[in-house]
Amino acid sequence: MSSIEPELPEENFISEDELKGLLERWIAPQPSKTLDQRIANSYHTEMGSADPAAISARFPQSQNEVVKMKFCSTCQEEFADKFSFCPVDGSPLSVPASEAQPAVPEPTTTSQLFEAGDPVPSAPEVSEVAGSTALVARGEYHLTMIDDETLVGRLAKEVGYVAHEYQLTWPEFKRDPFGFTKRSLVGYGQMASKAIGNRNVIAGLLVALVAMAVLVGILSLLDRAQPGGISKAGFITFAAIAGLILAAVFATWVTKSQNGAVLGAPDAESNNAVAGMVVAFSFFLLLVGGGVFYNFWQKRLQLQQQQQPNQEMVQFLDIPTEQPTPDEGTAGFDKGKGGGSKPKQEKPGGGGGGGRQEAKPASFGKTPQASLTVPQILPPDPHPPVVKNPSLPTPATLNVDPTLMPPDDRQLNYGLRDSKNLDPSSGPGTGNGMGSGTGTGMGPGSGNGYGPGRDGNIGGGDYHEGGGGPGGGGGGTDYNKVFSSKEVSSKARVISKPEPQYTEEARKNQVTGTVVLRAVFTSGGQVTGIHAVQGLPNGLTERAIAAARQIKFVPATKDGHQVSMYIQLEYNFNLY
Amino acid sequence: MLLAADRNKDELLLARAAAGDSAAFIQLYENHRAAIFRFSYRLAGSVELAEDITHDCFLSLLRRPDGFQGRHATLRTYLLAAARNLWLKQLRSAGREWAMDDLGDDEFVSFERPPLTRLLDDELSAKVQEAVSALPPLQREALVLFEYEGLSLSDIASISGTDVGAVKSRLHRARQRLRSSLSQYVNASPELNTSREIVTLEQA
Repeated sequence: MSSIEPELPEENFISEDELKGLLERWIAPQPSKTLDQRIANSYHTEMGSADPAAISARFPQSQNEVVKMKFCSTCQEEFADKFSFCPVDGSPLSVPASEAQPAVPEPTTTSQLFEAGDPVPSAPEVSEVAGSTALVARGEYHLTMIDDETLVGRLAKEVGYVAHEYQLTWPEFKRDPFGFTKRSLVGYGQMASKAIGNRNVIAGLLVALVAMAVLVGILSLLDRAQPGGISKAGFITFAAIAGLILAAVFATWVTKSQNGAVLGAPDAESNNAVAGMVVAFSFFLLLVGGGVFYNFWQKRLQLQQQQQPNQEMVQFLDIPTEQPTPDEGTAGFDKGKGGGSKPKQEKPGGGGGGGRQEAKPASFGKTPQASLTVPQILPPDPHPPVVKNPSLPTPATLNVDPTLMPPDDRQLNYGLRDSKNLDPSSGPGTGNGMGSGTGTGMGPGSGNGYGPGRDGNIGGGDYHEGGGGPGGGGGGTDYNKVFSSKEVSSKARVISKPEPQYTEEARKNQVTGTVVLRAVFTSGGQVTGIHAVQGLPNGLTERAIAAARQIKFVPATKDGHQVSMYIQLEYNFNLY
Repeated sequence: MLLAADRNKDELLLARAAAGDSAAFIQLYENHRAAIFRFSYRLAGSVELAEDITHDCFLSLLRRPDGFQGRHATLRTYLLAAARNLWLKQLRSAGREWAMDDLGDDEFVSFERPPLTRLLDDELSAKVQEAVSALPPLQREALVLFEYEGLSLSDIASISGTDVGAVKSRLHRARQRLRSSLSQYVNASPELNTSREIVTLEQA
């Protein structure tokens, strides 16, 4: 074995000869016969030997596509190749002698291919069709081949043929859409002009058009003659007469097989006249139908415009399906069920009052900053501050739940929300607040809150912190609670998520599995309340919790507020 | 290498073909068909494309026979240049089509070889084709013209429309690339490699 092993070169060096040897291994194929055929075809096309016989000789397969026909000597008609006996009289069918010509042998060598282009008169093709075409040319009879298939079968065949044609023409259309369309239009145009060129077609067309023009003219004359437009009965009568005339024309056509003639044309040409009429009628109906449809459309548009006068669309408005529960009353005035910043629904209580023993009642204005945590330093004063000795400005505050009294940014002096007095006044109360009560608050009560009641806050009665949101009645949504992922309008989006590391112990013990944690993604961006729903031993649960704490995320939002959201985290621990 | 006599003959044939002599055209076509097809195949890498190029090449000769100036080059060089331009055109066109099977029928494979040898030969042939096809177009044409068609450097230069120095450097770079891409097949000198494989197989 070792003696057969070739000696590998020390390095990857290929000498000139070796490279040449390698390159020689790539053998190119020989040009195929199809190439010769193609070039032969192109040669004939280029050199202008456009003799039809020569072209057909270049395509030997095209000769096989000639439909084979059999001939019945009794009824003198031709039938498809599959019939053995005449379907009309039952006599045996024969193959016409002209069909039995030997096929032209296929050219095999290059030079034969080229020589096949020389014009060769092909006698069989001429004699084969001579008999039947002569009859057709004289208009004596039209050969119609009807297979003994059902109508549906034939229809399916036709549809299949159309589909096949489409398949064949589609690549050509894709390759050259403009040229293809042009060629098609020219072809159809030629077909149409040929059809119109038939005798009596023009006559039929003109007669039909004139007849219809007359009908329409009569109709419009009738319409004008009567002041209120044509009556229904008149219209129906007219339509009936027109219909009868049409029926008469078609009856003539139907009876033409019994030597009836249309427009005095000879029997064989009545068909052309009728075809012209039908085309004209179709064209006219298309016009009238288009006009009627256009009229209808215009009327509909006008109707729509009348229904919406002087209105134009500026923009689409999205109407939310879920509207927030409306407040039932101002918070804290003994109305509704309550409200406040506590998570649960609870009615707030308390109030405040004050005054500086002024003659006028406390004036109208805005309430100062509300807070339950910052003690009140400066009570509200409706008079603009007069700076005597420059000092650090201290804002006036009220000891009220801020949820119930949102910050008021209006450029106003401090005052009661519902006062009618516009002159700055602290009111007749005492204690440096505003209103008729006592203390540093605002309103008729006592203390540093707002409204009736005692000892601060808002809502009447004794001091009591409310809960369940700012709504005086319904409370509304508390955005401080923790939502589930279904309740939020946009979920929390994790920005970074560190992978937990295996502990040495777990690796040693081959611990694998999943740790499932439940946690809260707070509105402030922290991960809190982590607890394991499903854990793993050897410190993997702890590692997962540590990793969860380091998750960075964009908090979830609900109605534009950043909110906290419950989330379930899964950590897969796998050893590979 | 075409002799001067052949050159004159080609010119004569072309003049006759242009005048409508089909026999002259056949002669011309048969003289150059194989070379042009081979060259197109090695550039384009597929039988279908090579046939297209060869067809268009001869068609252009038929349409503009005066495009060939006998005093500048031989007809072979002229046709090779035409094929090369057609190939580049095809390469540039966005919607070019690639045939599914790059190897033609087994016509050109000798069936006298044992199956295993044939398999290995085919594989090596495919590898060489792959390596040559991976060359940048200009290097590829220089290599094919020099190694496979045996043209002189000046002829290659006139076909590629450049000077001899550029052809030399393209050839050099093409060879370098081929050396590195074919290095693992260098020991695959056919006899040794095949026999070794066969022995291994027989032992197994």
